[in-house]
Amino acid sequence: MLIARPKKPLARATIIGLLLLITVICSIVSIGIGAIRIAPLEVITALFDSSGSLNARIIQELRLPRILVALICGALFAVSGAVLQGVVRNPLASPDLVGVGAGAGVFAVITLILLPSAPSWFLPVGAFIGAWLGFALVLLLAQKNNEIAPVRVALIGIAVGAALGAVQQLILVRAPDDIGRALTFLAGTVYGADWSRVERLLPWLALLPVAWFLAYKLDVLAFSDDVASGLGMRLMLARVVCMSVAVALAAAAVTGVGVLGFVGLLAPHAARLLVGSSHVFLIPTSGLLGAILVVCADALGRGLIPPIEVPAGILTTLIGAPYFLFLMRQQGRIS
Amino acid sequence: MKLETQHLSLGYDDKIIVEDLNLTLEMGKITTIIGSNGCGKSTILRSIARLLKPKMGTVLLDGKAIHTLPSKIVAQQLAILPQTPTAPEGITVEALVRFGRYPHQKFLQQPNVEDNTAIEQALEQTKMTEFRTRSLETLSGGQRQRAWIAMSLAQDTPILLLDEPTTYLDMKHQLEVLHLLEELNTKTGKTVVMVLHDLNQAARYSHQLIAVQNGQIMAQNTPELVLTNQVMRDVFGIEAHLILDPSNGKPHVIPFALAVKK
Repeated sequence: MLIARPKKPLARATIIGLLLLITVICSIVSIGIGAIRIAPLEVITALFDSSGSLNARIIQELRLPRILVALICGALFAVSGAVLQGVVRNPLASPDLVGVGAGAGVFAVITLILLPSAPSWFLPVGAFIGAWLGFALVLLLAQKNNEIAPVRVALIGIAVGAALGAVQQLILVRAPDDIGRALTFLAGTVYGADWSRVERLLPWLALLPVAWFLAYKLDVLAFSDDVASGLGMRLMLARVVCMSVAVALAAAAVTGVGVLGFVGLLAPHAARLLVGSSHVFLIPTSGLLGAILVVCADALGRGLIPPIEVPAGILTTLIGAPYFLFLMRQQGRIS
Repeated sequence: MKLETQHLSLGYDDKIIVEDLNLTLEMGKITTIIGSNGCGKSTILRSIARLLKPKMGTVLLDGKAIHTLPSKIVAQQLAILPQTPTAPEGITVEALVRFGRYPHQKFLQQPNVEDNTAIEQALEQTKMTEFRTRSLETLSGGQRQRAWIAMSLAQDTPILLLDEPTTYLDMKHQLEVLHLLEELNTKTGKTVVMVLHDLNQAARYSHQLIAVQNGQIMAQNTPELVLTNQVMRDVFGIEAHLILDPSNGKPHVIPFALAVKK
């Protein structure tokens, strides 16, 4: 991993506390942004206002669920990325690398275009199934002699992603009209998130502590294979369990905000710069950074050129792509 | 405690490297596997450490097949230091050594007194206590190797396996590592099994040598009985003078020519 100086636990705990604070502040400010601007202090009073005033209704019914969806999905994507980077032992890994993004994309497009009359809840279900199928395909192709080599996962993940992306393009090109929804979903957006979506996502939050419990295993997986097995780690089992948790996290996030690019790559990497590579600290830090990133991207998207909304996914990609290039250069310099 | 192999066949993919190997390792001793490049000595060590699944046959630890035992139970009995181990970047010596306790820890269990004692002892035995907060990358080759050995020691196993522990080290650090292993053996009775390239070091520090050629054991005995002109010729393909090291009475090999193939 790139830069990972040993850090004192206290300093790392402080960083996590600060990030928590920043998350709350960003959320409150972000709630105030939109067609009607509301000052942060008014946001706080309106949150607990049960009188049914206009501001209270705008915030409680429209903006709060949207921010919550952004927070939850940002954290899910980011933790998924942190776990995957650990398993694959590569800071350039992200949920898209194991076929999650591509699988979800293809299935979302298929459900939208081949089954136009399907109810709206069908799109996230399709994406969820697609994410797992994409992952299964990568796993199937990457395993050899009942072992999974991280390098193979990375390379095959890229190939599968490209192949599924082509399928998706093919369907989109052949598709006649209603591809707007599909494109928005593929770009990733928090637009239109309501309380039912928040409720649908809530159970998946239970996976965050699960990922955190895997921290010690992920630390051991960071050693070379023979060291990890020598310590009594069952590599194949540990890798499949960790990857499955990561895929479940990302697949759930996809159902909330679509294929939101680069959060799963960016957040864990930035987290590693802040708290080092010990996963006990890395996982919560990533989650918070991911939440902050998506909330800010969404707020920016709403505030830049109102009333037009720029999808959050486009903004995260705009930040993410140059950062990714920067990372590749850095990595190339070191190795 | 007993460690042996029965009818062990090893290889990678379709290539068989070791066939029908029967080997019993002496407990409480230092045993070194020697042989020329590609003879299968590392392969044998890796399979004893269950890093390599046998094609056929078994490695038995106290009569039980090592590949069917729970992985953590095996890791409590034998530690392996592979040839080129890698650790997460930026890890400190103490954090590294702490990972040696992994096989002893249960899910979500906090480190206990036993863990901490084992870590302190391992640091002390390897003289790494003063470097505990240093990150691995900032250490010299010899210190780094000692840190890895400390990790294996923290594992607190009766058996320690090492794959060429002196490779890439300069002369002084080589001796440092071998001295440390000798000390561990005499003081704590730890069984040490390793692969070494340098025959004279092997002779100097081992109770037993195992000479391997083409995956077969050509000789297994004390250094005096293994290092003969015949073995030099057959296993290593060299002609050598064999003298006694004046400082310790162990055999010393001075090669002078390539052996003529018959």
